[in-house]
Amino acid sequence: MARSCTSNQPSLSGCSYTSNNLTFTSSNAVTGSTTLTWSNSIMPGSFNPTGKFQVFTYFGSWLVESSTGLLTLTMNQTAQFTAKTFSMSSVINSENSSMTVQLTLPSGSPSGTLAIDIPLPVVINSGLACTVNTAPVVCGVSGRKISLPINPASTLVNSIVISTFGNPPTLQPTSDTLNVSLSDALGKASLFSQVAVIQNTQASPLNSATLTTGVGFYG
Amino acid sequence: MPTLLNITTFSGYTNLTSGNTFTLGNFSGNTISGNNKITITMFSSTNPPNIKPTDALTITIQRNGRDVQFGSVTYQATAGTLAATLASVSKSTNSLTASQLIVTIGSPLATGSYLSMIYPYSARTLTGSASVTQCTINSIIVSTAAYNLTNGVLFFNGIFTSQSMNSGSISLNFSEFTNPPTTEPVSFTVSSYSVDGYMVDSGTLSYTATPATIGTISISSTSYTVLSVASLTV
Repeated sequence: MARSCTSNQPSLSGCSYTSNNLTFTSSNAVTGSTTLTWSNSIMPGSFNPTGKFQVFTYFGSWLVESSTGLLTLTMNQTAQFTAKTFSMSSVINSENSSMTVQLTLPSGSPSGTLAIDIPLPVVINSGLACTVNTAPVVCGVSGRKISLPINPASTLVNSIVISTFGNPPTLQPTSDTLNVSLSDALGKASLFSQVAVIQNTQASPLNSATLTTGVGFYG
Repeated sequence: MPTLLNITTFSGYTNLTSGNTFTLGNFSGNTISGNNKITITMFSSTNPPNIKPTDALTITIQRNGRDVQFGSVTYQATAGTLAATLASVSKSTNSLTASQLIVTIGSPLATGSYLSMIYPYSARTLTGSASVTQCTINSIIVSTAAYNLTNGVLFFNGIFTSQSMNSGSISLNFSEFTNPPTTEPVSFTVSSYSVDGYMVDSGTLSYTATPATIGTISISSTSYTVLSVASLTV
């Protein structure tokens, strides 16, 4: 990714860089307050404060000055990620339904806790079980929020299966959207999305007849 | 004529010592043909007190009381060594600080001797307003010490105005010593001189400043959204 470097000092307008080291070089003496700006830096994926930025000045290869103190960046705005598909058994009042959530998280997303707010009138049954990319994980329920640990660093696409649910009792769409958020180690929502309305498209069987319809979710 | 060599022992042929002259004689019966080397070794001789070349050592070969060959040579000692250290209250680059130079001499210094310190161009060292705040010789305060800067060399004079020293240390405290501008080690050459300007001892010390602290510094981003692509400014 191309990077531009600028400075209030005309002689410091260019830079070279490695993965974590940026070097501004001047052939002229630099005095006074100096501002260095560089573009195309990817911000952290969490609200955790960054490690310390360090600034050094050199004359030739010899160190002249160094920065001290805490020079860190702390993110305070959430980003959004994509929950690509949701599927759920859509039969009214069906028990032991399962929900699949497929997430695409940005590179650099933190490990943390994924929370899914289940809208009314979906019933969260006892004995909830969750898997992440087919691996069972321990998930908890608090009110209508289901939470489970997730490690996006290991895989960017997370297929999360949560069971068991009880489907809404009518064909009426759920009134609330389904919220999925990822909280980092600090417990703050660093990523957020609201993606779907759950609606039964299939009435529960009244007799021996079987009705089949497609899955109906509104994105 | 000054005493050039202190001859304390001699062995060999018949010799006579008179003043600064000694004579080897009684070669009767022995012939030394031409192009042969005659080596005369004088043990336990004391070198000159500084690097000033001696007056000529004159060698005369006589036969039957008459000079037949004549030659002369001078002798120059090399400087002895001294040890020196430099310590500062602050070692930050470019900072103005009080400092202390301690010189441990290797050879006696007579009254009128002085010290010098040569520093590289990159080190500004002592400013015009600096002064020698205290000088001691073996912990005894000398109140007359001062310095002057001549052609890039610091000369410390007034130390031996009325005294000499055979051994021990000289301590010089300075005000407003300017540390080197970078952390590159700087070599200072410290030398002692006789009253007539000939080097007695010399030594080097290495002094390394530590990086100064950048004053006020901050960092900001054009975005504080996680995982966003932003520009940073310090």
